[in-house]
Amino acid sequence: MKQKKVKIELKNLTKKFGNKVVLDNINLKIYEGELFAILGPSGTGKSTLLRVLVGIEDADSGSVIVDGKDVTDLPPNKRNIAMVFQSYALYPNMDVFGNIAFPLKIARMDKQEIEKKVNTAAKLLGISEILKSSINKISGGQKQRVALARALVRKPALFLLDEPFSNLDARVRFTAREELKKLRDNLGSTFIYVTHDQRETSNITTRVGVLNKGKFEQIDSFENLYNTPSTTWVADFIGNFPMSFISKSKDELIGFRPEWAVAGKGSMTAKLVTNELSGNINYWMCETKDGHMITLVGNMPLKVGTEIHFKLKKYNIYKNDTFVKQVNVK
Amino acid sequence: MKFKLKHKYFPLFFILPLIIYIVLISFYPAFTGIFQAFHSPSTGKLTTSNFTALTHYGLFSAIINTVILTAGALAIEFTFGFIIASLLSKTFRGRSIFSTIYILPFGIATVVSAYTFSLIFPAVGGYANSLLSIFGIHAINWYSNAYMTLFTTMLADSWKTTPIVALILLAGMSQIPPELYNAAKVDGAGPIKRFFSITLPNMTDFVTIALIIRGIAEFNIFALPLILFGYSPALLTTLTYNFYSTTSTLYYSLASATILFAFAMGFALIVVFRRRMIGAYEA
Amino acid sequence: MKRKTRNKYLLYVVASVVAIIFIYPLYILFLVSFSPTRYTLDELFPSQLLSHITLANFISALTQYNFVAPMFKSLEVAFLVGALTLAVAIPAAYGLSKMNKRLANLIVVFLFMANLVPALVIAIPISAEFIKAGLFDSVIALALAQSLFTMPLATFIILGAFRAIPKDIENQARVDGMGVLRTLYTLLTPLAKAGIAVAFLLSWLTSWDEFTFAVILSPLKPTLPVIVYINITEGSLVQAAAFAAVISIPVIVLTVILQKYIKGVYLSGGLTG
Repeated sequence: MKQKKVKIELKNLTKKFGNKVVLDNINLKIYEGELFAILGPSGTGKSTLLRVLVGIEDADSGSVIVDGKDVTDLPPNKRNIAMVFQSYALYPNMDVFGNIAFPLKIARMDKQEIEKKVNTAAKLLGISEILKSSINKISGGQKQRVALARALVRKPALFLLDEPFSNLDARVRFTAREELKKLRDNLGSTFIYVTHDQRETSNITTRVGVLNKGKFEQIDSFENLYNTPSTTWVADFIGNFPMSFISKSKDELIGFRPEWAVAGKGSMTAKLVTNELSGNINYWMCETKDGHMITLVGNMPLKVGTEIHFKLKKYNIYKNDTFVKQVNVK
Repeated sequence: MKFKLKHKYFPLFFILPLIIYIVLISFYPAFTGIFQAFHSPSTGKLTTSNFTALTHYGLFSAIINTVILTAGALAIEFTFGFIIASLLSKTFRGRSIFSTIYILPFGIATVVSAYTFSLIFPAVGGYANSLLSIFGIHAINWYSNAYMTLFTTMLADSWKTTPIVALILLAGMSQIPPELYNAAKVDGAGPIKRFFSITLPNMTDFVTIALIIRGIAEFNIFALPLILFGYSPALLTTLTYNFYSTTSTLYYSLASATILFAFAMGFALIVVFRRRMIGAYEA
Repeated sequence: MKRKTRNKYLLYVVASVVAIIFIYPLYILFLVSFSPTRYTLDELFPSQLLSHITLANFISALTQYNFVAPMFKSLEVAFLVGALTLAVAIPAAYGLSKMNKRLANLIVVFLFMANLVPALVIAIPISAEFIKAGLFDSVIALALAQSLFTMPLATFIILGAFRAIPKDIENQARVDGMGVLRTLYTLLTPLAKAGIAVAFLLSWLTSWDEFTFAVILSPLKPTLPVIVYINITEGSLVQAAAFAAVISIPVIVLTVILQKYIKGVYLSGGLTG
């Protein structure tokens, strides 16, 4: 791969609301063409970070650099960043065409030019048929496309999307993810989006930044987040089940995913607390002697209280809650 | 940096015209009026002589009459206000028609309502007496003495002002969670018990607001008494207007207006303070 | 079951009795305006029922030389009050919607304090100022004074309408490069048009009915309420009845239209919030 170009860089970004630190000295580089997800539980400053990037909110200190240019003190429309809000924020007093055309009108573009660009964008997103429709009469999925079309007519340097899938119903959500990836591939642009749901980051992203209490705990591919979480917090947060931990020494922990353990044999034991069916796979939630809760893959439900033997094929070692190394057992 | 500054303070610029307007047209004239009331018309020196002069022109009876009128009118408005609010807080067929009828007087100009009531309650005869005569009741002189006059005025005033009280009380009632009533019903509380132990204590804010808004308006009642019975018995407002339209200097009318202001503010303070005290006592 | 039907019956009885009490004065007003005077004002104990209908009272009142001028004066002042109120209240409400909610509510309370100052306390000093400025009896002076009653309420209603618009719409407009003023007037104002219309109509109505400022600041070129008062003091009771009916008709129409917006929470000025 050739040398990647930095699209946006955040330097020492800090933001407080009163005494509460929402963004704590954030440093981040995102490269051209990335589909980057900012993932974290609610109330960790994800949306605030987007708002600071686009310029709706000002950071208390630090800077935002787009394409090598410091935009920290520029108003939102001068930053060459487009944003799609969680509610889509379509202007209810305009039709679909009016919404998409709006940023171009503000930029005083010529009428024919506007029409051409709106039509191109509408075609790309498959909403050419509804250009004359009222905003109140189109579906949630269509609203999202309109919002995206309105964002991309400006040919921005990058796109920010706040919880792009949360207002869609479950069936559309999956295809919407794929379409976002396709759109990124077609345009070759950089996309950053915010979500609280890790399932929305697993397949399509280039990298995921896990945000906790205003700080990035780890920035990595989803696969790496799952396999080698850098802290026990990330290990706990990522995955259908939190990573299981058992004590190794006073300040060291062994962490493993359910599928890294083999149940039925081995020297370690744990008592079954509940059976949990996820999909058609049964999981045993067990308690070890020293009080740790662990999750194992078990082929069938067993009676609560059964003692289960298990051994590990692979595990991570954490010291003071920080990743040290991964161990593969031969 | 410039952009950030603008961003932080720009809301104030939008509010500024309104603040300037309020200060210029309301607070400033009120202040200068009160200021002048304490100055001698001849020497320009600080004095209370304007006020002592007023006492010779029936100031005290004007104050007493104003207080009686205010208290009586509030009593009638709140009684009917609670009845109407209770009615409208229920759902029943035709509710919206009734609610329209109850609201209508709200929009009627005071002058019009005053005129209408002067037809219903004229010095002799009139529609009220003709109605009473149907039931075999002797004609009543609605202005036989000062108290009767004030009572008639209370009735006439309440017609236009009850809707406002009723609507504020209704807003208060509708924010009381219905579970409270259900719980009280299960506990066996009757409607009157429910009103005093649940409805009233849970809407004190709204009662306070209604009392302040109406109480102050009642002190200011002007067009209605002016049209219904003129300057006698005197009220603080009609006394003020009488001085304003008959004396060449404004000083007496300003002094009289100042007393009116003091009573209105005093009333508001008492209501708010009492509410605080009750609040503190309950807490 | 029986108890419930009895309660319902009682409800309708009480509701109807109160309704009759409330509608009675209006009935009398229209009875007097549409009946020949010999059945109404000339009678010591007039009949409660309408027996003869006539438009003579209206014709005599409306053909009077002093009707047209007051009516136009009233209309001019009322529309000016509405316009003035919106011109000041819309930006103010916008500014308040951008502020910390607590501070904004505090300012709203401050505005309503202006309503608590008795009109006479203000009217007398400013009448002196207006005389000096040559504005006595003018439309603009009266509108300026009457707007005192309407500004706080209008600001409060429009503030509510602005607060109901999703914040992201405005953020989007900023991202799209719309300036603050343009956002306010081409985007937010149309979106808040229901609240703004209510504010305008209530302001219009307040001015149309207003008496205290009108009689003190504009006695020589009176508005309709003042002309009713003058007619009464001069003993022209029939004309007064016709004028009173004329004033009341738009008011009744507006009240019915605005009914669902005339809410206790508005009237209490959000002071409880």
